[in-house]
Amino acid sequence: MLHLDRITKDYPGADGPVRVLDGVTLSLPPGGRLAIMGPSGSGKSTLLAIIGGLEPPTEGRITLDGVDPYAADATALAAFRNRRIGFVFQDHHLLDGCTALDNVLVPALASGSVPIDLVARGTRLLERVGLADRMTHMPGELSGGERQRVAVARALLLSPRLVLADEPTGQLDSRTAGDVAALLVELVAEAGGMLVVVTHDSALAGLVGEIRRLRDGRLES
Amino acid sequence: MNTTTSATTSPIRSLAGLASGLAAKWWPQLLALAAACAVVATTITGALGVGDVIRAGLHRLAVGRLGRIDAVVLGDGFFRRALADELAAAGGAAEPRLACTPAVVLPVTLAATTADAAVSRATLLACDDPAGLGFDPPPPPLEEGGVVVNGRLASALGVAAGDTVVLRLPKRSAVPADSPLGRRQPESVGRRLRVLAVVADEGLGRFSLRPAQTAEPLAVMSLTDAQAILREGDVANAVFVLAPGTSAGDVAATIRSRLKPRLDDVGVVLEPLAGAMRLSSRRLVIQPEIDRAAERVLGPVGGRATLAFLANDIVPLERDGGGPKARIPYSTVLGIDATTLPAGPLVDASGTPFDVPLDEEIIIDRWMADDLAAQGRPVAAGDLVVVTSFMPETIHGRVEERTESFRVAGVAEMTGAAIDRSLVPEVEGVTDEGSIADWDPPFPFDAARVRTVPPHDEDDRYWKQYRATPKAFVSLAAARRLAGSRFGTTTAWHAATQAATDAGSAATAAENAATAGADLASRIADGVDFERAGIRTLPLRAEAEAAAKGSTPFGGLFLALSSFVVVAGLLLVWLLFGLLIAAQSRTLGVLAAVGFPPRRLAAVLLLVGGAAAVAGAIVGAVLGPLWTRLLVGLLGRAWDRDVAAGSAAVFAPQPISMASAAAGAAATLLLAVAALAYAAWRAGRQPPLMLLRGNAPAVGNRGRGRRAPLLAAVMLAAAVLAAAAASRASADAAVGLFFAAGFAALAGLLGLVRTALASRGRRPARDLLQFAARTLAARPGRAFSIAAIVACGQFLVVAVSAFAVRPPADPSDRRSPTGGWTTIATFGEPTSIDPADPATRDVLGLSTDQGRALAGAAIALLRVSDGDDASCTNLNATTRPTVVGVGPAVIDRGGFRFVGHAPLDADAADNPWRLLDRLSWEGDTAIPAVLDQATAQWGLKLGGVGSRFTLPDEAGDAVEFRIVGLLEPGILQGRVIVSETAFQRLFPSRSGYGMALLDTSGLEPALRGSVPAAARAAWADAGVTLEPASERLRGLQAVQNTFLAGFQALGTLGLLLGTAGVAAVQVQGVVERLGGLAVLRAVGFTLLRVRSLLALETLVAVGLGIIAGTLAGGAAVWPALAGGTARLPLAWIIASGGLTLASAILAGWLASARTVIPQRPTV
Repeated sequence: MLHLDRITKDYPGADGPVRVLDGVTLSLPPGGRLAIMGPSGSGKSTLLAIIGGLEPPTEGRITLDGVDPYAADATALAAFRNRRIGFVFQDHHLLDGCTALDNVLVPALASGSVPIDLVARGTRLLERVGLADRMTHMPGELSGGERQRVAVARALLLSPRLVLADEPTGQLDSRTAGDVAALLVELVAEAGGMLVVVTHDSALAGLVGEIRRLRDGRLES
Repeated sequence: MNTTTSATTSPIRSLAGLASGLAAKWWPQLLALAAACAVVATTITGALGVGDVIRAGLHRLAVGRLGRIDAVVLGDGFFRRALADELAAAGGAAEPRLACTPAVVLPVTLAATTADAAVSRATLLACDDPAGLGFDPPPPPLEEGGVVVNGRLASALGVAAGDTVVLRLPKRSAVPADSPLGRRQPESVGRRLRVLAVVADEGLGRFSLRPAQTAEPLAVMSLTDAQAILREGDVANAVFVLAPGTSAGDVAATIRSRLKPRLDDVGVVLEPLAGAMRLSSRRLVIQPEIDRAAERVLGPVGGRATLAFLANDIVPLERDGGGPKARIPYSTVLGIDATTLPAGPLVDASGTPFDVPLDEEIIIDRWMADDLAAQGRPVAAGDLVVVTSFMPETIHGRVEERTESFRVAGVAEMTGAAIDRSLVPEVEGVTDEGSIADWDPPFPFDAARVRTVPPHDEDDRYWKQYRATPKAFVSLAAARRLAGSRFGTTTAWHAATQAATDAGSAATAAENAATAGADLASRIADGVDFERAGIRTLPLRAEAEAAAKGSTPFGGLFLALSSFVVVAGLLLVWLLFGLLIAAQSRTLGVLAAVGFPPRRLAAVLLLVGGAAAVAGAIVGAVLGPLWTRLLVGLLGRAWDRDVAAGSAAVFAPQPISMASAAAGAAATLLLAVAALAYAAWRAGRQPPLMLLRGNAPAVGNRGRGRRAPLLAAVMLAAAVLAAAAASRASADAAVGLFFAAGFAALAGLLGLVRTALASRGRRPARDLLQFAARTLAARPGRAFSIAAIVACGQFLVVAVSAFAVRPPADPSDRRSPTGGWTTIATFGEPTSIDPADPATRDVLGLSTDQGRALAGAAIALLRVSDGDDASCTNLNATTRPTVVGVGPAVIDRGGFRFVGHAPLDADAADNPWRLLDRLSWEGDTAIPAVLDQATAQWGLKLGGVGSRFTLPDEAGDAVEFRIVGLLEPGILQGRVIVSETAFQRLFPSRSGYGMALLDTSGLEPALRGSVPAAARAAWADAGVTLEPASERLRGLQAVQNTFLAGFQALGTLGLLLGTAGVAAVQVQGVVERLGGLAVLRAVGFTLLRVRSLLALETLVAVGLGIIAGTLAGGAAVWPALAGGTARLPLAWIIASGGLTLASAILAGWLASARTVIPQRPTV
């Protein structure tokens, strides 16, 4: 269960604080899927960062399965991101010098070595996203869609409770975007996790399910 | 203000303007680039400066110790003081005059009267006008009964002006000490003198005839005072020559052409005696050079050479083993080649002159015949007599006898030549004694044999009547066979006055004789090469200036070892420039996108980078002298402390030549601009879109190092080949080849590192280290640059540190660098006293313990020539190294460790020292020599075993030597070691031993303590200095370790550069990878873990560099490691490597900490 209670986020500005999010409240049940749409600058990515434990809110409280990530120290917050959250960014942000499989396994390195079962899981995930023959390829040797599939597999490696996707198809052509979006939704559903997607793409939003709009920092009903 | 406004508002209208604008924006990176260039320029300039400083220091000292002296005329003995005046007056009217100052220069002993302090190897300069020698500062005036001492001597004695010292001057025997009639025990005369002043150790205070970087103990007194002590008359043994109008190269030739010594200047006199002229020498035996000249002059006028020798016994050979014993003790026997001598013929009882005896014949005189008859053993013609005489030369310092049988040719009546006292020259302590009982001969003398008590006082009566007149005559050839030696084969030349003069040209016989004598003496002297007869001219200034060029090209050496630092610095320049291009690739992309052609884009980059290189080179040229000062300061302090106190003056700060600074800056610019131009050219060729995306060509990433494996294979193969060639090469070539092998190994290993860094691997990264390797592989060129920089520094550290030398674990081990010897005794005056000889010990006045101590110690006496120390402790260049002659005490004992030697045969019995005895080997007459490896390779640059070289012998003739063995550097370092026999051949007139080695390890501990006092007592008159062998070794090892410390500093600089490179790469790397690092944080990496990843990346790059550098350094010194002359300092390697790793990780950590790593990617 994800619950956001009156989340506010201010950034310092030249003429005083600039409010990006203004009292956002929402709940997402286990297995729930939510697409957040809104114009540029509406605070979509900020909201996603706050949910993902990347940026604390100025005010308000967030809990995932009853846990407030920002109530703990930085180490616990990192562990929260590692174990409970899966990220898919607009730019895939795959690591140079690492193969596709390496990139998928990166989250497992956050707290130690990669156990063999996770290697197997990473392999299966890549097979699942259709990259069985691309596992040892470098990011530069993959197409844009393939890179984003790797990013999706990476996000799902540790079976997170919540997958957060920030414009996951923003840099893909429409056909590839559709494939990636469908794959994302399908895999999250298979894993039984929650999914929050921030996007401009109404097709993608429709694919996710419930759609909420964010405008001027407020979440419309 | 206007300028600033104008600069900021004026549009950019040129390429230079654009470069200027970019440089202003990119200044932090350019500052780092300039700093790297400055390090390179500082290193080059500084290394060149080290050579400049040491050369200048040596030159300053060389000139300072001589004042304005250009040359010296030096005598083996004393010559007339007037010779100096004659030399000054010689020369044509139009020729520049020579300023000549007569002096006495001798090794002396001085002792303080108030304290138990003595200096046994001080130099005495006795000269009436030291101020005229042009020393700066001018020396104080001298007074009668006073002495001026230098600071070194005053300090050693603990005296000051006004104190009293006792000066002891050696009193040398004119007769060679190595001949039976020579005195083997040095004598000296002493005088109490007042210290007039203590002069600083500069100018006159540094006076020395030989190049030395330290001030030697020096006492200066008036020549008049010295003459009064010596009691040799108005004499000198040196003439200092100032030749202001003559070039340094011509001084010696000018002096030799004008110098006209007389025969009496070399102790030879031609005098009228008993109606004849006799040429004889104070040395008893006439030197071969003068003998040859005398033969040329006197031979044609009927002159006859004779050789007198002492027969210890003449005994008739017993007939049929019966009959009473009879003997004639201590008789003079004369070798003749004519029986008619100026005093008359040798005639038999009938008055018939004898024929010259055949080789096996002897003519005895009537006195001997009558004496033998009186003893009941009459002899007649045809009887055999046995003549016992001393060997003409001492054998390893000891007098030995030999016997020879002669057949009596007849009995000469006591008339004519048989009673001519002048046939035998005078010998001090023998022929000048009133009674034979008063003899004080230097040889073993059995007084009991001599009949001096009436009624049997036959020997004393003969002595009183005939003195040393010969009692027997043999052929000159036989005499020369028995008594001829390296000192000569003639004791006198005899020429009838009448025959030698133009009869009737003089009014009286006396005047006739005097005139004839003077004429003959002059003609003989004209035919003598006095350089061979003991009066030598030394071009001191020319020699000093040659020596001041230094034994080791320090500038080149430091530059060679600095080359690794230079390479490391250039790699850093390359790396930083690459990082700058990467950081600014979008700017460059814009320029490319708007139409800048590749060449113009490269030009912009080169202008920007070049400006930084110029600035860095200028800064380096300024900082180079400071680096020089630091290195030289370290060297000087260590040298002064550990090697030779007083050496600091050589390392004193000197103005660095502009040429070195300019060369350093120019070399840096050349190298740096070449590297920058290549990097700029590569960047300019990138497609604009790649640049716009921030994909500038990473440093060294071209082709992802596809050629690296090939390069690695080639270089490693080259390393193996070079090592294999080195194992078969001569020792000197081996050093170069193994260094080349090390360099190739370094390049090959770095090729492997490059390959490994670029390796992607097939298996997924499962831990942070593997993950770090993956991330490094993204930009392997950067990691490789760091690894290469570190490897260069580590290579230097390892290769240099391996040669650090330590005292032997067991100094008594004969294979150690001490040879098992415990003490080195050095003599101010050569001595022939051998305390190992029981008979000698008995007369030395030693205590019981002292006698037992010396009896139980192994003692080896070594002959030593007048040469320079060619060991590493002498910074001056050496052209005339000291030659040491070793006898059985060293050769049979063996010892020391040979790093190489000529093949041994059965006779050598696994003892390479025996190779020295092969004076002729398969027709090869080159003298076998053993040297230490360091001196052979570096000090004298001679080469390895089998190499040949020449050195001047005593007469100045070049003699060829061949190296039959190379020793591990030890206490005999810096000397050319030959057999004693070869030494005597090289330096025939040199008698006695210059040093001794003592091994007291076999003594019980209680006696060992008595050895120093015993040795001092035994060799007191020889001016002995004792030095523990371990101390000598420590000083020698300190030289090597001191230089190594300097080179290690260079290696450390290389490692520091690596650390700087790490910091730069980390800063740039973090900035470039912010997005990727943010993802890591987003997926749960803590900041600590992200930084740990960065640290691991550093660890891998630096660690690989350290491993490569260590392995390559080990390969470079492998022969020395295998030969046991070097040892890998594992503790030091681990420490330096660990510190490098730690500092690099810290630098990388701090650099990355300066950049905030976000938790979410920006896009």
